[in-house]
Amino acid sequence: MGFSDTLLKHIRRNVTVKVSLLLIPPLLFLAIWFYAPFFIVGLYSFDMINIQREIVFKPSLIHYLRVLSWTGAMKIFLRSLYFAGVTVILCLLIGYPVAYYISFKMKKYKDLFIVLFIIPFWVSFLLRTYAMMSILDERSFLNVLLTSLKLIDSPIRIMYTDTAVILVMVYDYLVMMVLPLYANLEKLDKTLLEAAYTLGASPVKTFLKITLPLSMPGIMAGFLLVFIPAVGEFVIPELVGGPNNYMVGNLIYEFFMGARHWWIGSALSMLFIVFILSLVITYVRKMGERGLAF
Amino acid sequence: MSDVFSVELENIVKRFGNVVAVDHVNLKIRENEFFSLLGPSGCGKTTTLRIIAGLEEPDEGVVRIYGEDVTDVPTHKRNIGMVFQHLALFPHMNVFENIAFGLKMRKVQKEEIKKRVKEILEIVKLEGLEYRRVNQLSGGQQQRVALARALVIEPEVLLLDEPLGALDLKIRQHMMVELKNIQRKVKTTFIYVTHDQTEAMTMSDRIAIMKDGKIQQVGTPLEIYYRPSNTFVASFIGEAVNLIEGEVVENGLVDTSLGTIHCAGSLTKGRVAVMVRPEMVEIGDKLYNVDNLFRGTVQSIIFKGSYIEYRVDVEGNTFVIHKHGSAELGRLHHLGDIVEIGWKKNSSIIIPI
Amino acid sequence: MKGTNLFLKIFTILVFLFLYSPIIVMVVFSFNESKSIGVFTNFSLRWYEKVINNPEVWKALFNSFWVGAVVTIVSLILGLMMAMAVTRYNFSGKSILESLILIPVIIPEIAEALSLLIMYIFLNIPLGPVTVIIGHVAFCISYVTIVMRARMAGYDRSIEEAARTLGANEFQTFFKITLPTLYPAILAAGLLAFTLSFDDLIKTLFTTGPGFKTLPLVVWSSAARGGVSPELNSLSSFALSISFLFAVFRLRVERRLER
Repeated sequence: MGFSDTLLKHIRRNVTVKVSLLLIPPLLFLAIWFYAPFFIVGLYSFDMINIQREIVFKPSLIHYLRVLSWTGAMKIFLRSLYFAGVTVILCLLIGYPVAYYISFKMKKYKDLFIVLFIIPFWVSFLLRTYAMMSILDERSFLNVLLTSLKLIDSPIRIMYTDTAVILVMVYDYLVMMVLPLYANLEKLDKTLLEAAYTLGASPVKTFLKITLPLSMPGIMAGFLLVFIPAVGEFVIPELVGGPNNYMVGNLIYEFFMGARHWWIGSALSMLFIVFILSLVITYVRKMGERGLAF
Repeated sequence: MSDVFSVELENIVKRFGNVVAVDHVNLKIRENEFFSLLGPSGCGKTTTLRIIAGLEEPDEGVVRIYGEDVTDVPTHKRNIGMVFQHLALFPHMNVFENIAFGLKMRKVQKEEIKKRVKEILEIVKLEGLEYRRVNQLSGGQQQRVALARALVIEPEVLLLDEPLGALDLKIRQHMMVELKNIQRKVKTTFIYVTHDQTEAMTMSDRIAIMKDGKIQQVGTPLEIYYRPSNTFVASFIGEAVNLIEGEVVENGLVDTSLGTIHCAGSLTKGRVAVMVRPEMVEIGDKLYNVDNLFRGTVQSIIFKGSYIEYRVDVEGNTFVIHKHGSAELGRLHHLGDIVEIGWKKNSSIIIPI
Repeated sequence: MKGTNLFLKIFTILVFLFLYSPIIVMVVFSFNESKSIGVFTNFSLRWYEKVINNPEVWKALFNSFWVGAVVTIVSLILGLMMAMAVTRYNFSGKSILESLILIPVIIPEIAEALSLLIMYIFLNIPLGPVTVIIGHVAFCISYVTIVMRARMAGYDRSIEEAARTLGANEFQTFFKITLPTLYPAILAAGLLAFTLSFDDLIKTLFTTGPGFKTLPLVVWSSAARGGVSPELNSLSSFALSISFLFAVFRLRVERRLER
């Protein structure tokens, strides 16, 4: 028996070896190129790297304190929560009726329509954002149309306002709310509704007491899929917002690329990441494993 | 059985695209009756039930509940209860909440709800399980919750759509007896849809047999079994049936390929089928005292427990005979035996083809 | 009831209009003769000529394609390994592993991108296509693993055992039985990885080197600098048509796979 045969025999017998062989390359890759960067950012945040890019073993919370005590940062953070929150709620208010209509009221063409709904989202996030930009611009077709129809006196100026950012965010994120909602509603046992009718519940009561509660998992999934990325949004405020509409993403960017203060930028990033992770962990705790089934 | 009708269907027609699912159905169901709609899959029985419930709108025809025209009344305003095939228990509510739902919709007071839920749980024998989640219950228990939920609102009519299909045989047999008892107790009209004739025959006061959207016959289990109105009903009901085609010679006499057969009197004329049930045919080495007598060869013998099923070939026609009480094994016939089979004239009837 | 239905119908139509109009307007005005983005004068291809005659655009498109291809191959290999480990074997720490796989999907991309840049600078790694590819693979692995896991759920391993009884060793079994059977899963995951890489902006923006641009980057620098303009309309419409064609292609492939 040659060396390679003995080796193969060993590998065959040992599950741990097999699993390790499979897991080591991808995990190693992730460890180096995904997790290590965060480790380095962590070091910066605790002031453990100096300007000469050497590691110094003197952790300090000074950068965290500076971030936390700076009201400007808090303002921007709250604004991010506000934008993301309004976006989620609007996505829900707009997305639920659409998902409901396609799922419940369209028998023949529902597959077609859900595909038609998704088509605009095949266009990349950036391009969709740009398309919205060209509508929101002062000189845009929409403004021209509205002024010529005498519906407004002068062109609407919403670029570089809170409203613009929220509007574009809703436009970009709507599908992430509609798809899990639609999937949930599709899986709903329609005979439950018939049972409710036979028990005397009107269509409205049936919706409130049966459909809505049973679509909660979809709503929660949609909430997660919209809110979490929305809070960290960078592109949209950068393109359609001004310095008054900055979100956390833009602030982090400013610290790293603008002011080049990597220490504060790192502390800010770490705080933000911890915030996101705690949101997700709370969600998982509440929804159990089922919540992650996408 | 009074002559007050709880449900009346007048000329109900329902089409799905090109298919006529319910074809000019007319029914008059009496109050407090256990009435079954029986037939093979696709015969329209479930659609008919759903039309009574208001879950489907008929294209033509009128639906009346206790004389009131409810054709245009939406489901939630009709005073019906329904037990669905897959039960449709609300998964996000426990047993109590499921049962209380209909009462809540009717704005019954809390105390009253508690009382009525407790009573119905006793009737369906599920006391103590109020606060269990429905997916923690067994199939039979879930069945009873669905029944309790529909009954507690005291509907004028209870509709049941093949509720026993998913249950094991023994539990099903038990539930059939339970259902009949409950129906008698709550004194409500039950309209029961099934494809299983045992269920229908066991529980019903009357049965309507359906095929291809049309009602074939309405009658008591006895009537349907011994006096089927056509060959479909004769074949569908019962374990087996003997049908011989022929031409009516005169009242009670039919000319067939096996000769002239004497049957019970009938006004039908022309081409008909003679029907005689397997248990009404005698078999033996030599038979006396029968009106119709034939000779044939034993093709198969199957021991079925309380009776033996013989198949006897008579000039190319196969007769099925059920011989009960053959405890004496010595009296068994064997494959290939030449035997005589026969029956009295009132044991066979004439039915139109 | 009928009233609500009508309301829902109209509402849905309005939402569809809301979704489609910005894109349609953008495409329509990319064919506008004048510089206006509000008033349509005449049909003209002049802005498209500018785009097509711009070598930067073609270079960027080419870069997006080949980076996408490399990213797809690498993440498919690494993701497949991870998916196989997770679906075939039970081992301690499996749930921790599953969380580790999910984290790249949850973390906001800006934090991820900037952290990677910091590390590149910290380690004195020069920025360029390779750093971009690495950055893309870092999040694509997770998406690939998730998609493959979902599609591998019904995979019956007894076909591999049958192959072994017929004399195939591990490698032969893998390449002749396992891979072909997993082809639909691999294809689905690969298409996803390619799309994510091709359309990516943020990670690319921060990890790319001087002079190396992908198509999204070209759109971005134009939009961030000058805002809305007819050339950008044409460029975006051009990029859009590519994304769209690819999405249709993807849909066709997935439909065919379902049979």
